[in-house]
Amino acid sequence: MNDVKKALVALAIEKALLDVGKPTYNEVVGKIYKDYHCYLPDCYENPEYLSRVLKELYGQSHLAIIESIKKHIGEMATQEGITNFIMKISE
Amino acid sequence: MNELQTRLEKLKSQRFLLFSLAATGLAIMIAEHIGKETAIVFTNWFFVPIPAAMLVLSIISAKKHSVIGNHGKAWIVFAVFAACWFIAEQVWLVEEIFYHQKPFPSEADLFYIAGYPAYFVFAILYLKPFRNMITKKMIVSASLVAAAVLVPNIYWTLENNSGEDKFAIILGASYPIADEIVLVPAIIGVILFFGGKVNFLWSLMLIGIVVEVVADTGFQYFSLDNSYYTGHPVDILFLWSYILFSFGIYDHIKILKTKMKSYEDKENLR
Repeated sequence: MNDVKKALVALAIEKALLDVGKPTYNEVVGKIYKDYHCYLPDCYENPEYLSRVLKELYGQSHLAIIESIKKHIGEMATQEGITNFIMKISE
Repeated sequence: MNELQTRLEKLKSQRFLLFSLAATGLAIMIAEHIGKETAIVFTNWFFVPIPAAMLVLSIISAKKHSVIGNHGKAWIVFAVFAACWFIAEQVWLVEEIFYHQKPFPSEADLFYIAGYPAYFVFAILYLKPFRNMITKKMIVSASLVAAAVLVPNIYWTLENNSGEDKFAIILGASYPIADEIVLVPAIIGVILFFGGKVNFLWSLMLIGIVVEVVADTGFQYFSLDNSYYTGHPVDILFLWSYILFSFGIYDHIKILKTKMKSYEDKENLR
C-alpha cells in the first residue's frame, strides 16, 4: 500500500511540475538526484527535498507548485502517510 | 564545489552583461562623435546582431521547453515577440538605409506594436502556474507604479506644439503606454520570484522594460522636438533593452540546464 501511495504522490508531483514546463521538471528531478541522491517517489518520505529545490528555483512562489501537487493528489489527501507528506511539504 | 562554480559563472555573466552595456553605449557615442551620417549607418547596423541575439536565445528556450506546460507555450509566444521586434528593426534599417525614407512612422511600427501583445501573453503564461500567489494588492501596486511612470509621456504629448502629424504623435505616445501595460506583469514577476533563481530573468526583464519606457518617452520627446535621428543617444537605451532581455533569457536557459541523461544513470547512485 505504501508503494501505491509513493507512486501516487510521485505522479502528482510529476503532473504539477509538467504543468509548469518540461525543463522545470527535468531540473527539479535532476537537482533532487544530485543533491540528495533521491528520485521523485522518495519525496514521499522526504518532502523537504522537493520543497527546498522548488524554493531555490522560484523563491516563495514555490508554494503555488505545492498547492498544485495537493490538487493533483485530490481526495487521496486524507489517506494516512499522504497527510503527513502534505503537512511536511507545506511547512 | 558545484555551487561555487555556479556562482563564479553567474559573476562572469554579470560582468559580461555590464561590459556589453558599456561597450554598446561607448560605440554609439563614438559614432555620434564622428558625425550624424556615421551614427545613422552604424546604429542601423547595430540593430541587426543585438535583436538577432534575443531572437536566437528565445528560439533556443522555446525549443528546450517544447509545447509542454505553461512555460513551453510562454516561450513560443516570447519567440514570436522577439521575431516581431527583429523584423521591425530590419524594416526600419531597409527604409532608412536603402530607400532613404523616414522610418517613423512606417511598416516597422506594425511589427513593434504586434510585439507587445505577444510579450504580454508570454508574461501571463509564465506567471499562470503561480497565479494563486498573486494578490489584488500586488496587481494594484504594480499598476500604480506603471501609471506613475507614464506621467511625463502624457505631459509631453499634450503639451507639444510641433509640426508632426497627429497620427505620428499618437503612434509615438502609444509605445510608452504599451510599455506600461507590459511593465505590470514584470513588476509582479520580480515580487513573485524574489529569492529564487528565476528572479534574475524577471529582474532583467523589469529593468529592460523600464529602460524601454525611458527610451520610448525620450524618442517621443525628441521626435516632437524634431531632433531625433537614428544614432541619437536615446538609441543606446533601445539597444540596452535588447541586451538586458537577452542576458535574462540566457540566464534562464542556464538555470534549467539539467537533461534527463544526468540522472538516468542509476548505477552511479548505488
